[in-house]
Amino acid sequence: MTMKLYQLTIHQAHQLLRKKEITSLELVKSVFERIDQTEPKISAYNELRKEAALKESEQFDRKIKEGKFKSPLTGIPLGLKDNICSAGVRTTCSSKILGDFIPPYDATVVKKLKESETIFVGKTNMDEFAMGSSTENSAFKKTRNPWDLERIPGGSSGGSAAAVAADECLGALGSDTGGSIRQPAALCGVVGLKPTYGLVSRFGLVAFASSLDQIGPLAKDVTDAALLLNEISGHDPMDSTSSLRPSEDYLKALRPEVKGLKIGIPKEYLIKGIDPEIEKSVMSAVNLWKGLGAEVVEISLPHTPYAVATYYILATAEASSNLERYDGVRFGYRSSEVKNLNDLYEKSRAEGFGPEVKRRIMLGTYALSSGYYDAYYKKAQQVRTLFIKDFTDAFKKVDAIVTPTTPTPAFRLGEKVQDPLQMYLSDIFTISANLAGIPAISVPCGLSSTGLPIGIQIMGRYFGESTLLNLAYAYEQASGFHNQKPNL
Amino acid sequence: MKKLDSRLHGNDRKPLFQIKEKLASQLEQILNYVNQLNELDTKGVEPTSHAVLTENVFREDRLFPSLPVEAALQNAPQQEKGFFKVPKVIE
Repeated sequence: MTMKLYQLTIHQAHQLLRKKEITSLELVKSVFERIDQTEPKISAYNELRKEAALKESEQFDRKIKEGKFKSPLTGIPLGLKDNICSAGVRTTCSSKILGDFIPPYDATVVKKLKESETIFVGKTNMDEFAMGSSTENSAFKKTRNPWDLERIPGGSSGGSAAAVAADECLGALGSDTGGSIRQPAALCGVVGLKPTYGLVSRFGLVAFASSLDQIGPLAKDVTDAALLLNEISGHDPMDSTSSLRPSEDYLKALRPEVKGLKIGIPKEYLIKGIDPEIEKSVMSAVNLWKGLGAEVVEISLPHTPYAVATYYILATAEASSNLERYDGVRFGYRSSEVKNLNDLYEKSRAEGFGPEVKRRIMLGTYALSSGYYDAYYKKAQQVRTLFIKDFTDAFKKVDAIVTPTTPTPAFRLGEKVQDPLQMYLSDIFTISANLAGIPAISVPCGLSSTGLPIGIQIMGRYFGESTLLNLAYAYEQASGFHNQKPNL
Repeated sequence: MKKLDSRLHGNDRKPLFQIKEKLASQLEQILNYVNQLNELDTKGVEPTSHAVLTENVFREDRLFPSLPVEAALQNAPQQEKGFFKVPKVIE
C-alpha cells in the first residue's frame, strides 16, 4: 500500500514540501479527499472551509516554490476546535446559543498560526461550551471514535481528536479545562498536550472556567505536538494571565535519552475500578522508561480522591459567571417571541443552552450563592491550595509524574449520558493538572484486547514542557505505538 | 418559582415536573458527591483562585485601535442606529 499524503505527520509533510516532492495544494486536496471518505462516519467537523483552504495552499505554494518557509507549519492543514475564535468563520462552541456567531476577530493562537502560514481545514465538534467528556453534549452532531464507530471519541475536544486520528487533518488545536485535550487524545490514540497555565494565550478562546482553561495541540506524534507548541506559545498582552517567560524551542527536548530523569508513580492513581489492561499498559511503559535509564519511585499525591469534587465546584462556579454574557442582547441566539427584556433573557437562555450547560450553571450559581459560598466555593478553593502543595512536594523528589490518562478505554455512545456523575468521573486522572496549573501530556500506550487505544499521562513542573516532551518522545520512539492506526 | 420554570423548560417538550424531578435528583447526587470535601480540614488554608501566581498586570497608558462599531454590532440579533436593540425596558 502506498502512503497517502493525508497520512503524513506535520514534520514528514514539511520535509517533503522542502524537497519539493509535494505541494501544499496536493496535501490539502488529499486531506479533503479523506474527509469526503471518512467524515460521513466520523462527524468530526462542524464546519469545513474547503474553497478557502485550497486557495490559501496555492498562495503558500508560490512562496514554497522559492524556498520560502515562514515556519515548519507553512502550508500544513490543521483542525481548530469550535470554541477558538476565527475571524469571519463561524465559531459555535457546538451550542445553539452561538449557532450563528461569526467572530469579528481572531484568537491569538489563530493569529499566530496564520502568521506561521498554516491552513485551517475547519472547526471541530465538541461538547457544548467544552462541558463534557464524550462530545455527546454537542447541540449539532455526535462524533464517533475512528477506532470503533459505536464508541465516543472522548471530550470535550472529541472532534479535534477524532479528526487527527482519522487523518482528516495533520494536527489540531483543542482546549483543556479538566482533561478535554488529553482524555480524547488517549481515547482516539493520538498525542494531546495541555500546557502550563499561562504558556498559551487564552485571548479568543470562548471562556468556560478561566482559571483552568488552556489551549493546546492534538497531534499524530510527539514531534508534531512540539512543533505546534512552538508556534502557539508565548506572551500575549491581550491575556493578563499570559506568562512573561521567554520562548523556548521545544524541538530541542526531543531526545531519546532519559538517563538521570526521575519518574514518580502516585500510589493514589492505581485505584480500584481502573481497567486492569490500562494498569498493565502503564506499568509496561514505566518499565520501558526504566530500561532507558530513568529512575522510578513511588510517590503520594494524597488529595487525589478529592479532585473531581473540587473541580466540579470551581469549574461550574466560574462557568456560571462566564456564561452570563449569553443574554440574547449583543450577540448569539435571541428567542423570537418575547414580551419584555426579562423574558428575552430567560427565553434566549432557556432555548439556547443544552441540558448539561444548564446543569452546570445551576450548580455553579448554587456554589457561589450567599449562604453556600463558604461551604462550597471557598472550601473548594482551599482544597485547590492543598492540591498545589501535593504537587510542589512531589516535584521536589521527581521530575515527572506518570499515570494512566483515563480509567477505561472509550465507552459506548449513550452509555453515560443519563448519569452526569459517572461522566464526570471519567476525568478523574486529568483534572489535577488543571487545578494545579501544571503541564501534562497524553501519549498512545498500546491497545486494549478489544482494539481500543490506551493513553499514558505525564505531568510535569510549571513550564516543564521540555521534560514532558523528552519523556514522551523517548517512550514513543522506543514503543512505536504512535504508528498504530484505526482501520477506517 | 414560575421564573425558574420557564428557564428550565426551554426547548424540552417533556412535562415540566419530569424535567424538574430528573434535575433535582441529578443535582442532589452531584452535591452528595462534592460534600466529601468536608472530610478535609482546611482551617487556616488560603484559598487559591489562580494556580500559577499572577501579579497585577499593567499596560502602558496608550491608545490603540479597538473593534469598530460595525464589527461589534455584526452579531447583534437586532440593532438600530449603531445600538443594540432590546424590547422596551420602561413601561
